[in-house]
Amino acid sequence: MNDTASDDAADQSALVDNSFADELCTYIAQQIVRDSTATVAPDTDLLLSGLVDSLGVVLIVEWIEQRLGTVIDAGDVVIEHFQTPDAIVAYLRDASPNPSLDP
Amino acid sequence: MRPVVNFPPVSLNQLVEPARLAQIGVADLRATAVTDGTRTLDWQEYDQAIGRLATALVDAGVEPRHRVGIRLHKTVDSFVAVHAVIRIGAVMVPLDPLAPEAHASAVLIDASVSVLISSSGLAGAELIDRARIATVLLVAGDPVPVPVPAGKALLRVIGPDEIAALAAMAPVDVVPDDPAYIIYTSGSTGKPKGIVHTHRSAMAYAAAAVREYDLDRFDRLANIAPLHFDQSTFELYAAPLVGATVLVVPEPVLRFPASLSALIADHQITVWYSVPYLLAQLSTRGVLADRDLSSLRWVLFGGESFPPGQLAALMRQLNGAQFSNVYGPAEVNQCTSYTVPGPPEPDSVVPIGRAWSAAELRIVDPASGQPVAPGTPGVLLVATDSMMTGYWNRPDLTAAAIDTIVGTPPGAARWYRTGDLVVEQADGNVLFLGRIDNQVKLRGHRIELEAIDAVLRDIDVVAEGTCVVVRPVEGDDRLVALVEVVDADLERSDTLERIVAELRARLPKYSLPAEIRVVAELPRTGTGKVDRGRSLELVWT
Repeated sequence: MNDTASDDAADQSALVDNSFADELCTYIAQQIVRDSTATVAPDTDLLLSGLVDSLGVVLIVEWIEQRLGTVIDAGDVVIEHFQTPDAIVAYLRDASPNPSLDP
Repeated sequence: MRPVVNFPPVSLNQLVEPARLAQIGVADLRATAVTDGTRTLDWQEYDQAIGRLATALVDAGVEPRHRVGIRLHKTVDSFVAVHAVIRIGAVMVPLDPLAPEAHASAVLIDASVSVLISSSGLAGAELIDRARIATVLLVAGDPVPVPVPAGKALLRVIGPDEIAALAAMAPVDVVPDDPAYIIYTSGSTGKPKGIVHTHRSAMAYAAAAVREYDLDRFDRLANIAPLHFDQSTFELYAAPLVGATVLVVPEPVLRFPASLSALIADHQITVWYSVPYLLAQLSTRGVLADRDLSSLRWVLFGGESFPPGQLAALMRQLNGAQFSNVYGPAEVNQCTSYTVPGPPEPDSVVPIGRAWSAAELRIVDPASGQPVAPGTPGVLLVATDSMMTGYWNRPDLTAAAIDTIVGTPPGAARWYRTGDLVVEQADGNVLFLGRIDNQVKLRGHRIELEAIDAVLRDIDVVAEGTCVVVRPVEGDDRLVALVEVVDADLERSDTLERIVAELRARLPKYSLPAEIRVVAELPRTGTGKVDRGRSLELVWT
């Protein structure tokens, strides 16, 4: 992620908490999968089942960037970081410049 | 120029055989034959895995010429499965693992398949029941029991452990014209159409590909295309023909260009073959500047036009590689190749080029059938040994697609009508101009618009429907469906939900419209038929 002023960084990492994980799951279920019978839980595999396709990945990245006011490096949009909503959240926390996060 | 291997004639099911591989110079049978980034098989292991699965198939009652379905995600197991089926002289029918079960069962029923090679999770009860599958061989995944549909207690499931315990068998004898595999494509009525290839046609393609692209045992190919897409024949057959290594790229990786570029670099891939869409993604999102792709010597693209601006950008990023446009309907595997001399100008068109070594071309007037002069557009006919024998159980469609032209050179009497409009330029290179029917390409996938129309009309809430492809200058191409509804009073969101659910259940993902528009009235032609051209205009306004 881009370096931001430390205040912004603190805001950003504080945003990546459990409610963010829920928001992410809701976003994916409603806007990406768009199948009212599917549920997206924090540990739902997004990739193997074809739940999220190539366009879906791009949309999720854009949503995260808007939501957190940040920019995600293209080099970080890799399969390990997007396997499940939990994996996305873990990546976002790790990538945050502020190491002291409250879950 | 690298030396071409002079290999003795061999049938498709003899490609992966240690004795033959040693003969063609693969000295180390512990060299990697196939890998998916997680598991790796050397040539011995590959041969053994193929041989054991082949034995399992024979034990399951599969005989030569029987069709065997393969519904697997892309791993080394998918390549093993293909070669196991053809090892016993049976006919391989690959299925799209991401297509809905209704679509898969339509294919299985059409090909009269009763044996399926799959994994837990891809062998659903409804699929097995509808397609009347009698035996499932599980080659990957957890040994989770396949759910048995009610009343189907006779379903036989053979698990990976059972297969691993069997003795490996050698290839059976086949004759060149024995069918080897069937590639299914959508027919214009929506009913799937099976393109039948033989040992002869597949070998003719593989040999020509080796010649055209100087493949040898030091090459490392990336299998990008899924098994049901005929681009995969390049890695399936041309690779083992010369003893080249194959990296089977798992499908999820294709959605992450940054992961894909890393995999290609890590495995030192030398030849890449895919649809232009994936190459464009690689260029814009693949962080190529952070990857060492110096091993890549040849980039092949085909299945659809490559927008020249995107191609030029990629050629500058990968300036050590040659780039070639590959053209050929699945019915003939491939028939032309064009090596792009340099980054193309923005307004130029990349030609499909000249006939390659295995094919001859004829460009004819659609009305008279007579050859036209260079500079005059016409329909392309192709004669080649890599041609299908015909469409499975559809002699009517086969007769319509293949002309027997008297008086042409020996061995070129059968000509496949591509339905593509082309023109030969002064320099001898052929340009693709368009289709004479309603078949379109979307991200490399062949889509019959009429087939989607048929599905739309079949939905109970739809009175009439059509679909168009929108190709904006910026942004992705997309499929848009336009419908007239039966009951205009019905809640709009309910109607749309119903349509989306029906389409999802019946069409492969790539055929799903990105957008559905409900209109009061669809434009019609003078004869009352839905006017697709004016429907497209409606979408633009």
